[in-house]
Amino acid sequence: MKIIINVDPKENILDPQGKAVSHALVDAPVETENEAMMIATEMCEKLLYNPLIEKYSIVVEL
Amino acid sequence: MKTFGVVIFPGSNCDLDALYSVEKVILQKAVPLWHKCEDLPPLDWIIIPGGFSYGDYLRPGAIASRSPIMKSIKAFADRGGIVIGICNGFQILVETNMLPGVLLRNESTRFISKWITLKVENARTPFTKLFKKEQIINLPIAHKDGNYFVSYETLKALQAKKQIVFSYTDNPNGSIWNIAGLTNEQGNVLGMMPHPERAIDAQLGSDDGTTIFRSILKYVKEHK
Repeated sequence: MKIIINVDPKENILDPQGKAVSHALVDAPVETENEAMMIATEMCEKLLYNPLIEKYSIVVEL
Repeated sequence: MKTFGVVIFPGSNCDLDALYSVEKVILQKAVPLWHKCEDLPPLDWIIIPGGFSYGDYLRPGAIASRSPIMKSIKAFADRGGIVIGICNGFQILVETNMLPGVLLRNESTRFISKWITLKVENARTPFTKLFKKEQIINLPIAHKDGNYFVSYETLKALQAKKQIVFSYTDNPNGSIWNIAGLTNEQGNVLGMMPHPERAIDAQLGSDDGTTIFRSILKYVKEHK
């Protein structure tokens, strides 16, 4: 069995790494799951992962 | 008089040492370049200095590699311009795909700051032409992510094309094949973890860094 635990900073608490990374990404409005998946894939390919040493997976929550 | 650009990102911390090395040691003009700059002034050579650009968030060099100035630097290098990335500058060059591979966390997982010895593997590059092949030189390192890694196939290609320029005589960080510095295939872009800009005065430990800067100056003078 595998459990997934998410620990996130509370709202209004400064998250320097999150802020720096989001600054390097584009904030784009999306309407469909497909669009969200396409944009997330592009973000991974262009910045978030390094293909030499990392792999990624994407979960879209509606 | 030649003009050298020194790129400054938020978090760069070796920029002043690099500017000092150019202006006071090899007596050339040095221009600081802010990371938002897209139109570069006429330059003979660009230094991407060490530091912790964007706090090393995500991966060292990853966010800096997507900044506006890197597009211009890539175009400068594509035209044959000389680019040297030192420490964080090396990490930025691999994240920009201007050099192959990646710099992982040191094998010890610790930050290492000390003097080390290097072997000059290739003395026929713009950066090393004033050294002799296999000369042993002294430079300091100061990094936590200097463990160079690349696929076996790429390593073979790097060796065949003599792109490996410096190797550690006593590997401090786990780098594959003791690699401390390498060039791109064309030979005009160098990335290295040790700090030449911190080795510019024999009375302060070593002036082997000066020889790297003098080599580039000689190359630039010969090719203009």
